[in-house]
Amino acid sequence: MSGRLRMPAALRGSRLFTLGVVAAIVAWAASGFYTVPTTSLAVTRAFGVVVERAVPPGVHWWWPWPVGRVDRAEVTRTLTLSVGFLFSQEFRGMPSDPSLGRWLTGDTNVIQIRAKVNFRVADPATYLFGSERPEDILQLVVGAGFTAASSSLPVDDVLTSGRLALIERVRAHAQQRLDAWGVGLQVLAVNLEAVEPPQPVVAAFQDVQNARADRERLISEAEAYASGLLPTARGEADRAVNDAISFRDRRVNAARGDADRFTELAAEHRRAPAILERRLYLETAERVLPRVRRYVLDPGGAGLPVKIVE
Amino acid sequence: MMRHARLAIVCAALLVVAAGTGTLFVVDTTEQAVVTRFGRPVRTCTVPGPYWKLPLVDRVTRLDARLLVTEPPPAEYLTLDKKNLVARTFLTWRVSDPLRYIQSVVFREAAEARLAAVTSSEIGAAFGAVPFDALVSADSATMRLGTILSQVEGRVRDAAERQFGITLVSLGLERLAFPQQNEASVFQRMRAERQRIAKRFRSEGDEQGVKIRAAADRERARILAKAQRKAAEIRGRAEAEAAHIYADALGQAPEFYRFLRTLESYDKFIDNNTTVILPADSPLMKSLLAGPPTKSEP
Repeated sequence: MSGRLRMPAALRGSRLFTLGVVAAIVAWAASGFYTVPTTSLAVTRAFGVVVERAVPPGVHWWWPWPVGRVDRAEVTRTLTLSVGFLFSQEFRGMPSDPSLGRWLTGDTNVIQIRAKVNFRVADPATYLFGSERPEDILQLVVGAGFTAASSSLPVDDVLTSGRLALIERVRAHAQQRLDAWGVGLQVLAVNLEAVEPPQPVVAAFQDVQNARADRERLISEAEAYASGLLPTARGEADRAVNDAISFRDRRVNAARGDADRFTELAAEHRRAPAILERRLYLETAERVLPRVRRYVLDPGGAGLPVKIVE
Repeated sequence: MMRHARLAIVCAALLVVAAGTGTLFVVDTTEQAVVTRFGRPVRTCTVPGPYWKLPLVDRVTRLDARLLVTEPPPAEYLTLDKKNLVARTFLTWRVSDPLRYIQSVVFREAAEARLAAVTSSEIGAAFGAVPFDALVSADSATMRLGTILSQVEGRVRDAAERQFGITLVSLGLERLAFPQQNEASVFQRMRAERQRIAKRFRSEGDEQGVKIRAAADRERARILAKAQRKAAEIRGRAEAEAAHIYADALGQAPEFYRFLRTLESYDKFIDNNTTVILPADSPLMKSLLAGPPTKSEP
């Protein structure tokens, strides 16, 4: 210790310098502390080489500039991309240029698509250093996906049943390319907000819908007619059969009644034929003669004048 | 202790000096570099990291190592069957041969312009060689857009690699569209097609409605006819049964029946327009005339 005190002045100056340098180094080293927010991951580089690809949230130390660099990327946030319109114009309430969202379909119709693509940063290092303008690449790739899918589908499929298949094809198309090219983004979902005919032809497409409804209406009206007609017909049929059955009952019973009456008369006839026959004859005559014009004729002509009995 | 500290300080100072004088340079992970000595390329650095060079003498040209995107302006093409199509393409590429790249194209803008020109001419040639429905078709038999694009991509890739030291990663077709000036006629055609479809739906409705009604009418007629046949059968059997009953009963005394039936017939066919001339010797009158006198009414 005493030796130090006896140092020459020049040496003491150099000691101050040393202290200063050490302090500077310490300050430089201390500037290497950095934080990573909860939503992000960090990537560290030393001399331009990526060292750690995904530093988790928290406080960490890494070589400060000029040796090292730290970059952060938000990975938990879902980002959204607009397809067929511009967010910037929508926020200002302006209508987007319709041609932005127009695609050709396989049957050379034009459709207007409006979609949002949800995506996130899948790998921070790839996202940060893999490509220039990753979001623009995603936009182009999604557009290409719509082009590839819609140019092979008929318009009616795109507008109705093919929608799910369409967005799945677009998603798969985009993701496959993002992965192959090293863009570091992950497509979470392609949400079709609207797939419709372009404004100038909307009415014509609507009329097809109406015509389809008309067809269904005409058919169901006819079915209602049929379902009303057949029960009535079955009712009529039933009545005809029942009428016949009741005719049979009447006819057979009448026959039985007549037969029974005859059987009884016949029995009586067997006992006293002449009396019965005479009685019946007279009864008939009594019934018949009062209503007719009668003449009595005496064929013997034995002086008996013909008497007209009125 | 002191010596170590001094050594460290000296080293650090040397590093700082080296960097300051341009002896040390860093190639970032997003970059690649070409070192030229008086214009003569001496070194190509494609791997990121620190590199040495001679100060003042060596120059470092840095190039992007990332995936780059170029969007040529949309262009109009003519298919084999003389239909116009606007194609909007994009290219993703990397500098694969930095030396050839800086020798042939110098600037990024120049590289993009050359790439766009090659792309445009290749697409023009490819689209001009196929009919429209090879590019846009719902029929998978004619649709060859994917194949055609990958052929174009292959040709552009060859040219870019050979001429500019660029690796084409992909050639994408962001959009196919009809030219703006054709829009009105395209919409007119779409409307006409929709009208045709609407008409077809309506006449289908009419047709099926009529069919259903006719089938119902036919079914009704069938049901009624069947019922009438059944009713007629029942009536017929009833008549037969009645006849059988009569025959059974009347067969017991046919003569008596004939007598009774004759009387009944008189009852029926003699009405009040009938004039009956009775012979005085008919049984009826005989009793009247022969018997003791009664009142004048018969």
